[in-house]
Amino acid sequence: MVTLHLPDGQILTTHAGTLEEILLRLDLNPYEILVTRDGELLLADDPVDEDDVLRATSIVHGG
Amino acid sequence: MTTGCGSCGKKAVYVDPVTKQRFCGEHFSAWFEAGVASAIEKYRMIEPGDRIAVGLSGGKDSTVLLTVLAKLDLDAELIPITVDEGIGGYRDDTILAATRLCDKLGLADKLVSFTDICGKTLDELLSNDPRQACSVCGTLRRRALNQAAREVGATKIATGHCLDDEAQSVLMNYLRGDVTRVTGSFQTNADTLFLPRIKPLCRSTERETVAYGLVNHLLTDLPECPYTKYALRAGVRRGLGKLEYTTPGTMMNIVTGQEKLLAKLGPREGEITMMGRCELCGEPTSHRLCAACALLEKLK
Repeated sequence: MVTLHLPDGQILTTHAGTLEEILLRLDLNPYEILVTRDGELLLADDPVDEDDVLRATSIVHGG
Repeated sequence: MTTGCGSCGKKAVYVDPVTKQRFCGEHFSAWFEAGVASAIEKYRMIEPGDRIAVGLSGGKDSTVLLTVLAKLDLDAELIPITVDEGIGGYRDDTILAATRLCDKLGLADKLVSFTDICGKTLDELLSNDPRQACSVCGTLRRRALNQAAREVGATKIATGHCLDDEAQSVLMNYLRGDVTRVTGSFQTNADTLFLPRIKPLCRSTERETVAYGLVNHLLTDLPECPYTKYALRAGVRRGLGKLEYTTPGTMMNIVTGQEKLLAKLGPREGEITMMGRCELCGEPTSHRLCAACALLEKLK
């Protein structure tokens, strides 16, 4: 399973696919989330494999 | 099948959703910095010899703003100012991030706190009603930033507001039915009383700004402000974010559309509201008390 760490500490899991497919499947807006794998930014059409660990950064700021 | 950077063929890390141009980290950074430089030039934000007070919260936008301003070849002095609102479990980490950035850039950070300006932290001010957090914080933060900027002899104040913030503000004026603001009809002599504010990221989207921070390893994991959930603009931001995903360029269209509307309306005629000074603190205001003093009186 793909593991996605959210900024608030939540951890979501899902199956492989492109990054955009994964975010939409998890009900996340691809505009509002930037995702890195091993510190490198991923594009919407980048393939994500089973067992990949991703880290999400929200572009939304407080205040 | 993905393709590489349009300039060098290396692995792309960012795609401009409007033009579909693909960038590697290096070319994305150069493109982003050129965009900020272009906005500064277009709106004549900075003049030679300016002393720019840069609002530095330590969060994503202001971190990128200060880094890019320090990198651009500006004939101006940068003076970072960090406002400590006094938000438990949040502010200490972001202040530390701001201090580390200033150390890295060789700039001296001026720290000013809500306790300095009103004797209380934001947490103490909001103990009865956290729902007003964003309006209280915004009003007092403006006061703190203005005051500190004057103290350091700044000629302008730069903030990290980006295109998303600008588009949200335009839309909120429409949603409130605020025709005065939509048509730019409220004229005052404020320009002669307040330090001018500049927004060098006003043509850069929030997504581009945060991507720049990630590509250049400027951002650390920081907690979110606990009061964000009370922000009035949260709903507008979510709605615009969805539109920007399905129809890239929506936010730019909103902002440029507003500029075209004001240009078409031409110079506004009518009465100019002359601002005076607050009876309690001497800050510019069109009322007896400025917004910050009126707020503090109400919270007493």
